[in-house]
Amino acid sequence: MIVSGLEATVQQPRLSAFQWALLAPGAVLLVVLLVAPIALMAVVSFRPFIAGRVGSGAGWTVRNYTELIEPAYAFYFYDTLRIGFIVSAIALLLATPLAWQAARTKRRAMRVSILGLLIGLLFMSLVARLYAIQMTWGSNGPLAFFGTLIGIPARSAGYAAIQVAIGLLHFVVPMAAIILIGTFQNINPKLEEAAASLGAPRWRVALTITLPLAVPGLLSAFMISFAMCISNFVVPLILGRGIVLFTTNLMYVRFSDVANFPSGAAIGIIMFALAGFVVYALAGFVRWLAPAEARP
Amino acid sequence: MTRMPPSVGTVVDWAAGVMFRILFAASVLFLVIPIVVSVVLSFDDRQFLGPFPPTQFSLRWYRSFLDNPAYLEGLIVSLKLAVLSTLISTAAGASAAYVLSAGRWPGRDVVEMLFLSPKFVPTVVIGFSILGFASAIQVFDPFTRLIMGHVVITIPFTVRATLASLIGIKRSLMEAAISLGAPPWRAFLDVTLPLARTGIVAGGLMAFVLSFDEVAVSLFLSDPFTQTLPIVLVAEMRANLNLTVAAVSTVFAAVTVLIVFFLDRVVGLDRVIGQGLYRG
Amino acid sequence: MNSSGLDVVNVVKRFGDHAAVDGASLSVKDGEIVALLGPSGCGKTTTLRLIAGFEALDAGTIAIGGADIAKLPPYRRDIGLVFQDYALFPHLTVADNINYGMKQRGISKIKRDSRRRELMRLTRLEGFDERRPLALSGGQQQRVALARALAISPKLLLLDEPLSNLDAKLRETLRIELREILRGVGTTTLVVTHDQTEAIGLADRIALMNRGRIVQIGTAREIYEEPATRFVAEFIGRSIWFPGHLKQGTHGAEFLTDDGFALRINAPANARAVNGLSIRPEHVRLSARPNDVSRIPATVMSVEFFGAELIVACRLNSGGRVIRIPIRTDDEAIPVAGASVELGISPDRCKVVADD
Repeated sequence: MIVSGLEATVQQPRLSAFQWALLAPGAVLLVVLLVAPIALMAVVSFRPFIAGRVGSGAGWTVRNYTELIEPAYAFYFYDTLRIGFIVSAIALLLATPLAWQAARTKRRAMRVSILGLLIGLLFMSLVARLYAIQMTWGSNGPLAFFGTLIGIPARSAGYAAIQVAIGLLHFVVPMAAIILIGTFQNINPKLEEAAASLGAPRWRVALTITLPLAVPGLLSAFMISFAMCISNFVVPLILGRGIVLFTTNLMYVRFSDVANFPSGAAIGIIMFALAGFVVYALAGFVRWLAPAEARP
Repeated sequence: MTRMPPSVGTVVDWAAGVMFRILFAASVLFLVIPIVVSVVLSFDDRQFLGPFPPTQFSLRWYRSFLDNPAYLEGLIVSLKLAVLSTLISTAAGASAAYVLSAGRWPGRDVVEMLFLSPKFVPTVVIGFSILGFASAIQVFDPFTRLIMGHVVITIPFTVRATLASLIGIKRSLMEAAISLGAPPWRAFLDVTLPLARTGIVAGGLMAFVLSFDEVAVSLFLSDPFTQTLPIVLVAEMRANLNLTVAAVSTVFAAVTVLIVFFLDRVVGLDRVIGQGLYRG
Repeated sequence: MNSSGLDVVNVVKRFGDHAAVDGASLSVKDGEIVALLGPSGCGKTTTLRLIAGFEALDAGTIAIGGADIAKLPPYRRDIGLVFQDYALFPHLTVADNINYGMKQRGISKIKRDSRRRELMRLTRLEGFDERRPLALSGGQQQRVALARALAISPKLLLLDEPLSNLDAKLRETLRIELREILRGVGTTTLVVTHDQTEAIGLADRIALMNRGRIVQIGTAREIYEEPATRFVAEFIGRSIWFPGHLKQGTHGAEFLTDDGFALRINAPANARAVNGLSIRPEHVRLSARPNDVSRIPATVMSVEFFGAELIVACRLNSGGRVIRIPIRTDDEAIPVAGASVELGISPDRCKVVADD
């Protein structure tokens, strides 16, 4: 059938006054409350810090950036990225079976339970969840033996990193699983059936058919988990016991303990750039892996 | 009849199936156990933090929660903050989403990025930068600053959710209303708004939950006299481990169960996630 | 004077470099039903959207009842519009859908109710007041859309592909029904369609559109018998096309085809830019009569049986083109494959036109 309605989808070249009126409040809010503050922060990050004074001094300097290269500070960045990377990898491992079951189960009760759990966790207070993790995995908790099992006793300093990782996992696994549900749902089950009907065992079908098709989804789940981890603030704050600090916490400490605004601003700009890079890389990767015609 | 010896393929299949089930169970347990533990502990009658499980149960920690004015004050600040910032960001976000969905006008992609970007900026950066900006423009009232920060972090969620619900609304509906004599604003109120309602409500709900639980932005923008509930809780958790926080967490968990139940009834959990291409 | 008619004059609409509507003109008389017919992408939907006010004109005028409406916003044009997908408000009942336009006009509830009841009787929707649109069949939805558009007593009614969303089997019945309703209300109506059966079945006159212009306006019969261009001849009905040129022969006007036949024609009304000759296949006689002056020798290739008619494929001896001629099963001697025939063509059936 010829659908002449196609002609109607031509571009709308201009916004009407009414549309401007709808768009303006939000746009103004964001320019004032997001763009302007970050621009100001960028300026402050090049101002010298004068000890004992709130705010920043006059003149320009790059010292706030150069001092971050010193090993003492660089270590925080390294730690943040390292833990974020490991956690994102484990998150994929834990999220995949959840997402696969939710996407492919024939039982409605199973699907609704998994969806309910994942959405519930997204909606549940992270602070409350982190407290629950502390109670469960902390030195007094019923799962503290896990630390002894892997040779890092719950009371040791090294366990702080384990606890932060557990907290971050609890935070990102539901999100990764929800992304992967979307991925698995959009892989045509007929492809797997076709492969199986040709005599391929299930593990081979999974490795040769499902996995390659799921790569873009897995990758975006990984990248989003990674971005969420490295920009997280509360988890190390509560579970890090002051031993594990992320860049975010460092930024807060620079501001709250020594009132060094310019240094905090420099860290902020670097984190802003890092987050921007991760998002940009993610978009690029997904586009590269799934050319437009292959996407559903 | 002789049984065929199992082939290598079926053995691997069997092992992979077992592995999959173990991993699935581990994931579910990993996510659920801490919540169960904390719910159980909230009913612990012991005055100290004893080993799990508790030996006697009572509601003492719930009473302690109600007796502590810091919690209640925090709760009130958090509720006021969450309601106000949700209203602002839903109004601004939903109406912007409507314009974003109205075709491809020049500069649309840039504006869309502006509206979704707070999601990708680390919350500490938002908190820190707004703090500096607020003092530069002489805003020192902590509640105003908190609203500023919370509106920014919640806007992407209201925009996203509204956009998703607007995609299903055909443009011809709006044009039909206009051709029948309704000016565009009227057609928007009569047709678009009611049809996008579920998406707008879902976005508002997400904004509310996000604002209510926010720590990083609030930590920068509050002061010792205006503290949100999460800030009070974090301070409490870092200072001394008593089980009042467990009681609060249990209340949070109960509210979450209600929200999920509500979502399933009103929208359907399947629609929250999306059915995808190949599910009946 | 066109008291409540539509006058579209030299309308232009460009999207970037492309002129979707390129100087189109047409008028619909008061109470008349005109079909705007053309292939997909010819600019007819854009024309409809220009008249409704959803697109802004680049040039030209649009007037209803003599008054220019091009500057009016769409909600002040008093034009009833039936969308291709009906665009019924899914969250409102049938009654509220029909009431919507009257409410915008501040019409009192009593008047609204009586007008609605009248329209629902006319469109045979009695008893559906409280139904939701999605609970109705396609035909019922279409009638709700029609009643809703008529409720505002529009000066002009626009229908966008009114039957294209319906089951093919239902189309015939619904077309007749729709025509009766439109006749009954007597509103000036423009129907946009790509389907010639729909156009012929619904409209008093047809405006044929191609590449952004109106190429011919007339009754279905006029257009069929006197196509203005090759496009018209081939879009409405079937046509055999001979490229060639005019020539003044010894006995009068002649047309010399590129494959070498001289066909006698009646003197063309205007001879400018004529570069081809169109003839309807059913006007070609399989065996020439003695008084036929134009004869084309040909060989029968095959005969296909189609119930009431037969299609005879003939290869022209000169040039080798194959043309397909329908004959009635009962009226002529049925030729066999391989037979030599002389095709006869009368001058008044030959239409010399421009190949647009």
